[in-house]
Amino acid sequence: MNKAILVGFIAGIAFFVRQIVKAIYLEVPTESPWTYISACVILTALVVAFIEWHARRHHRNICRDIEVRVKAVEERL
Amino acid sequence: MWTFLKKLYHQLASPPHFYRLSPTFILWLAVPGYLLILYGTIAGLVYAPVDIVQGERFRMIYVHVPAAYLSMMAYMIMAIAGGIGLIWRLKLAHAVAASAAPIGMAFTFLALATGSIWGASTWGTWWEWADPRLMSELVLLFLFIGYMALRGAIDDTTRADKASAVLAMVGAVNIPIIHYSVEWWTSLHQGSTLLKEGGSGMQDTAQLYPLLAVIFGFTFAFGAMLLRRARTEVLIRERRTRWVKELVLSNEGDL
Repeated sequence: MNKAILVGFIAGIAFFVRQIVKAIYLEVPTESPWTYISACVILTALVVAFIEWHARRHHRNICRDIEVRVKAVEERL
Repeated sequence: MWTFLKKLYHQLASPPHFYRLSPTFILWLAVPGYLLILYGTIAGLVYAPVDIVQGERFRMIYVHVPAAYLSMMAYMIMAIAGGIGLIWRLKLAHAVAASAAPIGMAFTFLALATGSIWGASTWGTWWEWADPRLMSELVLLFLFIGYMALRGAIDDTTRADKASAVLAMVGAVNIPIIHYSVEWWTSLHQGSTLLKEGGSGMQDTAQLYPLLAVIFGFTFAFGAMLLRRARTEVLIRERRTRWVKELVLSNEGDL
């Protein structure tokens, strides 16, 4: 599951970079509005996914840390 | 009703209660939030009619406006929660303020980046240093970064809470500046889309409803994100208390 999310995330970033590069090098920007629109949508999806993933990972790490500490204290007692 | 609200307020203000109740609220906010975003994005990108002035390019509004609105809302939540924490010494308020900062920073970055992409396609420039809306939004990004840096620089949580709350409240002056910048000064940026005198700037409901859906959807999703982060923040602050210890020992790793 985590690998699939990671692959999707990297693919999303690669596509976003491709769209941005395309947008920068377009000689007449008015010709392809969907390049810009898709870049905006992909970037938003990536940022929202990152916020959610980071919050979950942070919570998991904190829980694990507290658990280890509490159990170490319990064992010592 | 009033008694129920008072009871709910006192329950939510207590860290153990908040920690136990918040997963339900997260679910009730996240599910409708992401469904509304999905509906609004599909309806806005596929079914909404093309704008007369901007053509297809106006569709960037469905990601740019919610991001910009949330960047300001996150800051206001941070400042108000900081103020509540300072005045009423509510520990949970400081946890909420600290949790709102990284989300607000991400949405401010998103507002600036999508705005820049939109600007490149309509104005022909990615950035305009003299534009008041762009610069005030950039200041907002720096305020979020400053707030987080200040919190990170002070080891004592109580002192960090107080100092960062003062910074958040002082920085709140930037919010009306961002909102009214397009009216007070000459700007490349267009005027307000929804909060316009004499009704919305969007006359076609097929364009307006998807925009409202993504705005409400992102607001609900933001609420879920905020609660999720506040839960972690509460756990960090309360890690030495008896209820956290009991929770760890009773749940066997599933907090």
